[in-house]
Amino acid sequence: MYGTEHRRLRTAADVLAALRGEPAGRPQVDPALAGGLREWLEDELAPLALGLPAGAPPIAIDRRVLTGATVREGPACEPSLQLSLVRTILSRMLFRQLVTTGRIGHPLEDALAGLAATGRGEAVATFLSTLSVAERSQLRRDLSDRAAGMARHWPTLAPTWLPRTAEHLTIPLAGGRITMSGTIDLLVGTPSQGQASVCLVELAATAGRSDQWLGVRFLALLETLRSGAAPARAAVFDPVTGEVAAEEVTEEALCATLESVVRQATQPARAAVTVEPSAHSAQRRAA
Amino acid sequence: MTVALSPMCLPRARSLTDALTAPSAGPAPVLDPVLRSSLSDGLARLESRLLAGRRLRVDEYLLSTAGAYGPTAPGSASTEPFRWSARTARRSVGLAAVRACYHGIHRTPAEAVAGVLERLAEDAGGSTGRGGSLGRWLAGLPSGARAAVQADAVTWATRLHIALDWDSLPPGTVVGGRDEWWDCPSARRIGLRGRAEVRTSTAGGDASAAGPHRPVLFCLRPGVPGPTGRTELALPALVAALASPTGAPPARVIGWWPACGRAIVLEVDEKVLTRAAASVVGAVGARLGAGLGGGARKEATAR
Repeated sequence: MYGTEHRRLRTAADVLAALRGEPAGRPQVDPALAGGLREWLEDELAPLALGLPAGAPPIAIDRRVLTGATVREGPACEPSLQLSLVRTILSRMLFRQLVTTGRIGHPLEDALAGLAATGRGEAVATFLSTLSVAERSQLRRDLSDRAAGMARHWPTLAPTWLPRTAEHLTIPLAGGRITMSGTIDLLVGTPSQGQASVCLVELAATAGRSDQWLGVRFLALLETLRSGAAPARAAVFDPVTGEVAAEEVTEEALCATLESVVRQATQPARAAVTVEPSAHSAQRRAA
Repeated sequence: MTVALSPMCLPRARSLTDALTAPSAGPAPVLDPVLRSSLSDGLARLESRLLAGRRLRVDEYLLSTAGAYGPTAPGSASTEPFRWSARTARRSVGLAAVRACYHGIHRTPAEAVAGVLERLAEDAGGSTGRGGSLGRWLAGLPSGARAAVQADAVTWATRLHIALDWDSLPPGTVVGGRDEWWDCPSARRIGLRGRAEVRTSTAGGDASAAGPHRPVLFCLRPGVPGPTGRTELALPALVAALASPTGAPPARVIGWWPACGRAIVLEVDEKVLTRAAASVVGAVGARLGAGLGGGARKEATAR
């Protein structure tokens, strides 16, 4: 779908090539595309905001809308913490560390310290304290495997690629009564001077997850709306298998993603993402 | 007057820089002495609600949250005590890094941030490191936490680095620089802070000198512009005018919200300053529980 290329990595050069693509073949940016996508979203999603009480928090839409979460008033609910989510949160901290400093020392300790420094570690630390010794040992092994995989496969990026991690995007719509938001694990490339020029990278949460690309394309849509230029490439890096999958970000893919967002966001409520009220604030701190 | 820059103008750095340094239209306004004294009087009336020993800093954060959250506690004006974190450190480190890039010391934000952190670590180990300083805090962090600080600072610095066309800025441009302060003379426990990431001048001028080319400010803002976005941009202009011996404000302030790619150009005139003063009194009143309505705010800054 959309010409996604899956490659088993052999060398750092393979990863760099996957992120870079063919520079000569990058499309010219059509500034009207981003404007058109925004207008399309405004038209289709504005009815959601009708009837929103004055002063109510905006309707928050994130990537989970594409996997069945129900859109509702107020800030996006965070999913309940579970081991797989904690592993993903900690893996992302390690990926940031590796991209930024080029080294990881003690994976679990480094990731927890990093999370604590960002002020979001309390809920995860509390969650870890509820784990059994065996579960905690397994988590430590998983993180060590992932850290080793990252260190083995991920190349050092030239600083001139301007690598920036945990890039948060928020797109207000309907006069700010709806927001679409997401966080890109890694964004590389200088802003567009006419050609598509940036590549977004997502760390694979779990090997073989079919919905991962939905989220990546959602982020590509946000980046297009934010910067006015569609990214050149999008990639998913799996630290366990060392596989990178990359694709060109095409107008077709952006439009298809937008249609999915609209379809999912505007359909009547289905299975809602249920979050216990008592857990809500803790999750927001954690994720 | 405010203008929102079209998001369709690419490259974005060029359009932001052009908007920032464009010649200013019309004569430079001067802060009306009546507005200055009425602002002082308004704040003086509210100061009595501050608990003994407390001080209140009026900044963009207070303007954006005072109405939303109301008083934190009667008269306390207290917020969370300041603590270093990746979030609170990223601006200091990031600004130093972008400054280093602007002056040609480093080529990229990533290299510059690493250099800034290295220097801070050296200072913390020497005689210049003070207790509670950023350097001392960093020196005490485990490696994973230091990496998180570095990563946050690189992302922040890159957002500023790619926002402007640095080679096109006039001589005398200052990256970061000191915050401007105005301590209300009749309410000494209330101070206004004006903060901007870049201070430069309209095209062809010299930002460090007075003359026909007027100063302009560039502010990097988090998230998305909220209902108080324009007022937040007007605050550094008001503080600059209050703190200036001549009462002259900057010609314009540009706010740039990289998370959503929106920019607001605020041309500073008398109306902007008057509204900003009213908003300051209103926000202080809300924070201190005075419950000032629109009418009362007008009275507090009546001209």
